[in-house]
Amino acid sequence: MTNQQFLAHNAKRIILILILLLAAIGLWSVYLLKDKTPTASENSRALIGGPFTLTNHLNQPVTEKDFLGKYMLVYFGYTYCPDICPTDLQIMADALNMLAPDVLKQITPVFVSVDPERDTPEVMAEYIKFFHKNLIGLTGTVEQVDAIKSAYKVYAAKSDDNPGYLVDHTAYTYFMDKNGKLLKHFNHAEAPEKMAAVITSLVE
Amino acid sequence: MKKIIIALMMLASFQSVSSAQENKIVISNQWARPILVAGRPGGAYFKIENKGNTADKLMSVTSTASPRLEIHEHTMKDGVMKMSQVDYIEIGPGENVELKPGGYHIMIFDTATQYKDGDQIDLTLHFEKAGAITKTVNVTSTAPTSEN
Repeated sequence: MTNQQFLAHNAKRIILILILLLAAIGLWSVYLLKDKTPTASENSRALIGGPFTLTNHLNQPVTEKDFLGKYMLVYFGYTYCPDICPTDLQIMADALNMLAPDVLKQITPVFVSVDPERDTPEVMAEYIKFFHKNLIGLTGTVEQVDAIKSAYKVYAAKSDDNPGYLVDHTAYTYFMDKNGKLLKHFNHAEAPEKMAAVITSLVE
Repeated sequence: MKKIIIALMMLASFQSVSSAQENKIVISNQWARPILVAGRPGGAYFKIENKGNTADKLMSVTSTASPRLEIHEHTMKDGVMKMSQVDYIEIGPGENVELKPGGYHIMIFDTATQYKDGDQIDLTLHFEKAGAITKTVNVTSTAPTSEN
């Protein structure tokens, strides 16, 4: 059998093989091109949050389990902070005051201190009452606070070693779902109207 | 008698000069945050307008409410708020600078009293050229809406 005869004889089979091959290459390239990189929000959802053990402003020990079943709106800061923290906590309070009562009651607003050496539960109690009646203050030992900072990817560090030191810190407000997973984060100085609208849209 | 008149005239002319200087720097929208917890520092804010032809600098701020006030600014880098002291704030001719949350602000340390919402404190702003300008500042927990 010459090559020509072979080709003629098997033409249909060869064409079929070629079509199958092309189809396979096509599917494979579609698979390769498909962006499997998780989005930033998927990434942070997986990365932010986790177990913690702290002390609330009533001097009671708490863990992440005490906050499950409700949405948590959480801000990290310190009471010695004269500008950024009062601004963001006031925004949080203003946003909470804009929520419908049935949404508000599903949310636990939390202020976590990144300055446990100065922020005792007593100081936290005195500080948080200026913002919102539902606000819960959390502090702890340096190790406990380091652990929640790490879980929530919060950066905070003393700017110097003076007794009146300031703390450089990230200024995000995290909105966590009922299972303690991140739903959304808000930047510093977010408009309270927007925060309230986003919270309302995310609460079931 | 003549001497007194001359002295009065000098005083009057001195005062008019000083108020002319002051008029070049106009302070408005001043407010201060309450001290929420004793021993914690407070913050104060205001707008500085320079209506003169030359640049001026806010060099320092003093108050009877505190032995130590500092001019600070915030810088945001990679989501981290860093606060640091500055030596002065320069206001160019015809320009204005607003001290506000998240930007320039006055830090008020070791206050004599834990002043609250509704109280008033005094601030004296020391400018390189315009000299000292004293303002009464309302204490309020939220920024008053801008007058303009």
